[in-house]
Amino acid sequence: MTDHMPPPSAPARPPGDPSASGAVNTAGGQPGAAKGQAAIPAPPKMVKVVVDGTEVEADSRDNLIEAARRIGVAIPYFCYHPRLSIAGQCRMCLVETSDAPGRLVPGCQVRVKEGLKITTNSPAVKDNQRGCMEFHLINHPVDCAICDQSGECKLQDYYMEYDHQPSRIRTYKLNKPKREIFGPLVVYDAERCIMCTRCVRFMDEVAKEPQLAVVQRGSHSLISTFPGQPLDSKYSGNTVDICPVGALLNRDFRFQSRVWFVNKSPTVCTGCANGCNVYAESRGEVIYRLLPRRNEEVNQVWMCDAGRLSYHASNERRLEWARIGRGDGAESVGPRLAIEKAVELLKPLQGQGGVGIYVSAQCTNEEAVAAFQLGAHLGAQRYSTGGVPPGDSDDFLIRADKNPNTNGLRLVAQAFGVKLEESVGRLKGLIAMRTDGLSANSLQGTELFIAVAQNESAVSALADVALPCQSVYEQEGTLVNWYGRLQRTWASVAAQRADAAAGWSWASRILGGLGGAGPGNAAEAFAALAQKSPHLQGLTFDALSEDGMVLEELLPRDWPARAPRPSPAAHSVRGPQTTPPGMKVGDEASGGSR
Amino acid sequence: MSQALIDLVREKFPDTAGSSHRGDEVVNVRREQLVEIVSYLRNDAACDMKLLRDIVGVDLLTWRTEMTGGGALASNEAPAYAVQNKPRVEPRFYVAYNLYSITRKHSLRVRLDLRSDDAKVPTITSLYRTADWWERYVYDMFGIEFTGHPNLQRLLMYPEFQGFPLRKDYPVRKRQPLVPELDFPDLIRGPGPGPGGAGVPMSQTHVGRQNVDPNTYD
Amino acid sequence: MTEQVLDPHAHDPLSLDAELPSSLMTVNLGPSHPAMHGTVRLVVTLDGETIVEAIPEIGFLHRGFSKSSENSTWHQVLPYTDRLNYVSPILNTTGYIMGVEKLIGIKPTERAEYLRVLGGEISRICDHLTCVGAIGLELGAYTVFLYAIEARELLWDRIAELTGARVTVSWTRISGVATDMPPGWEQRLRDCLPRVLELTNEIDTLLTRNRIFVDRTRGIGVISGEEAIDWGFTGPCLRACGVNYDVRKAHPYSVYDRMDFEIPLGSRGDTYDRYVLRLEEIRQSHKIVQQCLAQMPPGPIIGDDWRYALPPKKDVFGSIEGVMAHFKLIMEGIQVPAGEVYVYTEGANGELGFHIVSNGKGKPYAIQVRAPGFPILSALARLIKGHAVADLIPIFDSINMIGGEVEQ
Repeated sequence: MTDHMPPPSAPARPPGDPSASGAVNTAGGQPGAAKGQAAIPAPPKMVKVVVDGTEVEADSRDNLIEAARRIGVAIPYFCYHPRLSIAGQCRMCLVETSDAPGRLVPGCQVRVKEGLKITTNSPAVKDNQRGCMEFHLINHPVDCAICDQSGECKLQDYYMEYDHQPSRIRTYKLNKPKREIFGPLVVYDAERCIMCTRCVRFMDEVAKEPQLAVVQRGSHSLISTFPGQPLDSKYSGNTVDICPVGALLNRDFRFQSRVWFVNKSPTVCTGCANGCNVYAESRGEVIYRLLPRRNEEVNQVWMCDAGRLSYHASNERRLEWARIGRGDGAESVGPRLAIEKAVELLKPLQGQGGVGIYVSAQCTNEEAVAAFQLGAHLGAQRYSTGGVPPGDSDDFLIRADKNPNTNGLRLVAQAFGVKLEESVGRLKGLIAMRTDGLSANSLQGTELFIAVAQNESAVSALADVALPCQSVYEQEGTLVNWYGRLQRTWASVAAQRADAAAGWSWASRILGGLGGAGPGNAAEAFAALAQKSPHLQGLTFDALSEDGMVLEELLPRDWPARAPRPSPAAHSVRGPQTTPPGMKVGDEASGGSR
Repeated sequence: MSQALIDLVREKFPDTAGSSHRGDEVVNVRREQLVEIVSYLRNDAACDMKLLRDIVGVDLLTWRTEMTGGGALASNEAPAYAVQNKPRVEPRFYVAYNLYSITRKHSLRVRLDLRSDDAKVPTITSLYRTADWWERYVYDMFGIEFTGHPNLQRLLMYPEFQGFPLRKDYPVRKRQPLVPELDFPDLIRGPGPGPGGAGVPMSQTHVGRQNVDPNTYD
Repeated sequence: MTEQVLDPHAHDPLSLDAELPSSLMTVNLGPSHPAMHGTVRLVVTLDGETIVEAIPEIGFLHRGFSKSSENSTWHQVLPYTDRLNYVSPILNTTGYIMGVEKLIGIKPTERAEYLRVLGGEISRICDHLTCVGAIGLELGAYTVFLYAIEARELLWDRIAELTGARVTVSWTRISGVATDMPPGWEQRLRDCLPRVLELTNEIDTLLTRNRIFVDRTRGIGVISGEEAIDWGFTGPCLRACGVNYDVRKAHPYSVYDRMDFEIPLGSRGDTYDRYVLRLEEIRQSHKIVQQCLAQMPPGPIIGDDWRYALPPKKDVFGSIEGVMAHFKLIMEGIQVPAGEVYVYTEGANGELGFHIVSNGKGKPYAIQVRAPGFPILSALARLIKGHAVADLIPIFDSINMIGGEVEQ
């Protein structure tokens, strides 16, 4: 499929080559990776090993933890992470092998070889697990009641499973700095830290900004930032995900909710055009946080900080009630009457010219489709687009285009045969599907303004009819990311927020009032698009998977150096997807921490 | 002790499967053999299982999954993703009969798996009179039909109840529609208010709330 | 049921030879009725005074025990089990906890076993007192009721001192019980038991050889042992028919094998036997209580495996292990291994069974209660058919149907 992949724009460097910052790409944590041995591409050979008496066919690059995971045997670990280099610090994964009889070897470091026998349930291994837990807990503060990590904390889970003994210490615990602000998004509690150094390795190897380091020695060790250098990397939020305990916490989410009260649902981040796959955790009508979701071809298991904070737009300053009228004359009348008013205002303009449709690049494809159908019915003469202004970008996950669906709009416009202008122009009537990118200035020449808006702003205050739009997190729809990947979202918020409805639903109702027919649900809108668009022929909404699919004709020529790219081996046999169903493992992002 | 019982059953009915967990012996049977096997267990002198303790129904829909996201105490509102990806599990239900013999002091559980599109079981009311109400209870809660039952009606729920409450896809907080008031004719004074009568349903008679839609009154 | 209304003028009402116009009459008892314990509705068709047919309608007390327990952790189900047979709650909770312990494969401590038996037998006495008192009350013997309630009050005071609540106690825990006997409690119990026995004997004297009572209950609601088993009877109602089945003797559980007590048996299977049996069982339970107090060993009242038993509070507040264990047990629930058990104990009304299914998570997958009153209530129509309507009440009282357990 991707044999004709365009080469990356940056000159290729051999993997293992130290970059300018001194950090080394270890290409996935294989033993010897730091020394550049991972430069030799290991052939995908399968070997047979025996785990607890059961034969397993493991990839030759697997370590013992991955090999055991294939048959559902869980070897506990704190410091190991499938995407980072090996530390071997926590000693929790020690198991017995036939190669080293009478001794325990770390399961994260030892690679499988043909015929190896691994034992994970012998008395020595169990005693080690219990002892490791006891050691880790000696200085651990009694913080569960106030620690955010409760409910997704590997210390808690492993304690109940491998230790469950009372404490034996009869002295005081060590006191260390608590609540240290590391950076804009991260706060550090040294007492809870078990010094697994995942955060240090992550910043070195994945974020490529080595802003964390281990300081002091022995029991007094801490993680620290460098003097004058806060943890301000754009990927600092990922250290919170991978921290197995409550040492590194997200300042934005801190104390907002307990994790067992929130429901997790897959969707796509709307922060920029990268379209990182996320889980939205919500309760009632409020979203509490976004967590990265695994997609090797888009964001691996990471996401940027700006994306993590993008859910605030869905919670705050929302336009909630359908209203008509501007300023003092505005009244909330409920959806039915608002639609009637909109229809009444639009009817005289139907077919007369002077009607424009504005679609923001924050819209889903379905919203755009319904807007264009409405425009076609009204005989709109001008279609314009806009969105959140561009911002910073980098070579990994952050794209300059801060709108999730620019490509999608292009696709829909092409399908409907309309040209998207940059400016609104002077119109008799403007219907805006989402108001991002509009300003009071751009509306100066317009007489009638009907807005389907998500947030209250100066623009929505100018609307003659303001219809509350559900955020992308609250509705199902599709988005096309910067390199042409079609991804779908699910409705991640269970409760209905006031009058809010999906943008296509409003357009559909207005269409109905004008005598046309719009899509009744997202699948119908998508089907209407698939019919018209050559790129989407034969696709149906319900058949779209959680991983999305690449629309090959849209693949770009230039590729940022480290951006994940589609490839046939991307979702390969290694890693957590080999986990058998029903096996209790943590998030992919956390590397099995929760 | 009851292992001998399983052996007896399997000897006479070889295509049943026996198992034991924590001292409870279970025999898995097919629907066609159910009445015959239970009859054998009841009437044969070596088994003499004259006491039918109860009939239990279980819905296996969420055996491997949790319908709601989050941990043990997550909210019971399932977001769209979880509801959309409802698991399809076959067999969906099973019915278990707990039998006991007072004279021989042994117990046995007879278990029967059912598919969701074929949730019918022959009745054993001809063998045990107590099966009457137990089968009505399982029908009421799960919708499993017992063919041949003399009076298969809801037992605990009222007749207009919609749905089967103990099924795993029946939400805990589901509301039921209001039932129109029943007409109780009075022999002396004639038909009372209610549908068909001259009166107005109670939900419309309250002072102060006009134009109440009885289907949404809350 | 349609009635045939005959034209009252068809017969000359003044003629002495005229037939009394008769038709079947349908009478509705309950569900709100002082004698319809736990809200049961009986639609009774009468031919004069004789009951021709009775259709029971239940479900007025259905509170969704099974559904609620599927959405609560294993420990959170305990208060729901209290409210099943709310007259003898300790027996319910013990039965449920024994089921969970069987699934996990652990046993409670020895002292906890004795405490459970002690509390259970006190509960049984309370249940029988309530039943006997109600039989007296509804037959017009109000004094009997007051004596029974006085005895029950004494026992409830002891239970309140032991567990913290008079009725719905939630006292048992996985691998133990929640609270131990407070200081001086044993003496107070020993002091009040003679008074309980004294009151029981008073009731005995007032009713057992009372001509009116015997006439109203002997030969009423008779059922043979074989038919009773077919109807699913267990407990006092079955033993009144002469069938010797008591779970405590047939399959001794907990420490009942160390107790010396007898099982009273009836002979006729009528209301009178059911009443006398309960009085006798009060005396036998009293014997068991005395033996428990004598044999009670010192020791911990709850196991120390923190995967199942909550750690003591000083560890919860003082050590990370304690707070983590407490946290996981409360928030996620005890991780009970997957499996299915049916555990049965002798409840006050018969064999109380819990059919518990676990899928390995912290919440039960399914719990069904085998309430002893359920099959007995299903036979009610058969028991009262052919009797006078005045016999309905004593029969219904004697089967001691508790709405909470029958309707879950």
